[in-house]
Amino acid sequence: MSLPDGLRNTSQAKNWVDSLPLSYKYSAGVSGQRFAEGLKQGKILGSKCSKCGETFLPPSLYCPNCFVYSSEYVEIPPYGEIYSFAEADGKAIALIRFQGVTGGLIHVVKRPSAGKLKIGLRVSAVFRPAEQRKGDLTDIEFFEIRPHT
Amino acid sequence: MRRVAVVGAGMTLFRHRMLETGKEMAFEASRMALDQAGLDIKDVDSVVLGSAPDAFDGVHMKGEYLLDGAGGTRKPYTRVFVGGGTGVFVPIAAWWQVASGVADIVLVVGEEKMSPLLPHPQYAFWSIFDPILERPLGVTLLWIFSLEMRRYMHVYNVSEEDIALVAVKNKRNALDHPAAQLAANITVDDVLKSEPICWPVKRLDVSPTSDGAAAVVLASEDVARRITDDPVWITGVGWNVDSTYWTNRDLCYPEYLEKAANMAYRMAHISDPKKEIDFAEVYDPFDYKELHHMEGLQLARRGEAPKLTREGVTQRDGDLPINPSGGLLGVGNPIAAAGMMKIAEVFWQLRGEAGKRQVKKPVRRGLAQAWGDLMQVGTVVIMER
Ligand SMILES: [Zn+2]
Repeated sequence: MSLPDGLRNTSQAKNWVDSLPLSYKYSAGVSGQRFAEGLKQGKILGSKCSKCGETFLPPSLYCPNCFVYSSEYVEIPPYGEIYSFAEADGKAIALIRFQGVTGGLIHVVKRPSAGKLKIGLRVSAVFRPAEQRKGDLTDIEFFEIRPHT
Repeated sequence: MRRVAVVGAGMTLFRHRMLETGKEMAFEASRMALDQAGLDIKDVDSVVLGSAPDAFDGVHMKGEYLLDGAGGTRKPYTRVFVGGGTGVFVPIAAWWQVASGVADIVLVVGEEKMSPLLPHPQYAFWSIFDPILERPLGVTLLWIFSLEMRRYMHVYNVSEEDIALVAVKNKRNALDHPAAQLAANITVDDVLKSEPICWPVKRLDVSPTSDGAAAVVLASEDVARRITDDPVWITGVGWNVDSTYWTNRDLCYPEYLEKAANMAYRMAHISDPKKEIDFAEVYDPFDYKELHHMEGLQLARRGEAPKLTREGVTQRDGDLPINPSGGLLGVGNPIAAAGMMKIAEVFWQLRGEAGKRQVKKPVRRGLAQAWGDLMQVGTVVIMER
């Protein structure tokens, strides 16, 4: 096998340095707007499909299974369960699932002062005080472990 | 090869900025197309999505991001991409599947959400230029169009007034389109006096940037005959790509489009397109491009398109209506969705469902065309009753 005889000392390679500065302003979307309004009021909103009855979180304009418009937005009680979690840099992020709901939320979980985080622990959402809420995911400050679980 | 029919079409509003996310727009257009076809998502065998550069939506791997909005979850699903030519290429990629027998029903979706990118969607195009040969010059996409437009004007001695007539016609046609973003009654003078962007290209020579989606449903002959009395057949498809580098292309005549069109004409058994095509939706992101493309499609002789436009031949009540929808100049230009809007318009026109936009003469055969990649690809679809 003979390799092409390229430049052996790549430190000599001529290069050009340029930057492509781009920034973005993303639309919340129809269902995203409702979700954001809900958070601002201290509520977690999901969407419900009238055809299959499934409830989705985050809410969706349409049911991805039936491919029809969602019929309503429903309030989901802020009590979930840790489905799995990741820990690094002193922080823990978990996928939190809610009973009877398809999907879930990825959010920060506050570590318990005693004991460890575990899959299956029951958690509840802690909202920021109303005057601090901005209508985005950080309106939930974190999820905390519910006592006696 | 099996016959392939279009059995339904749908689209969203075209707007500078929509509240809907890309997924939501894809869903709305798809749902409308399925409803017109009387089909459900479970009937769909396969989904083909078209969307232009990821940099607009600001979500990398946009095909995957848009998947559930396009109804593609747990189905054979592909995203195809030939830049601005994508909108007319998506139905071609879907046609392969039905013509070959791989699928009986294919949902075809074009989506574009250009508004997220700041300060302007145009900035996405910085990264298309060769970092060594072009970027140091600080050129933008509009410089390429300026070179083309000036060369076209020079070779055929075409005036700015003649070119402006296209913008006047298309924006006026768009007044009758319920989804249109830039419909208006303007004059040639308005175009000439609009702000020069990169002369001879002026503000009103250019289509807007837009958010939007459009969709159609393709079906095999068996299925089409079962679900509709009024199928529209895809009888010819063609596509062709020229050199990527500007210096190696004829800036006055789109040879790649002639080749793409001839491929489609051969398939549709058309020998004299000017006589045999009843109307056409040709790609018009700029007014001069409509003229350019009419000539590449051989709907006009070289240099003749401005004359046909001046004589009213290309008006909705003319002998060869061009862009009765209002085109990209009037309806808007959410890139992949804009090409799909043209496919939908040909479908609605052939079915007599175009409402106030319906062309005056009876129509049996129409053509939709788009242009893109790096200003080098032609994509063509011919449809018939
Ligand atoms: Zn459902």
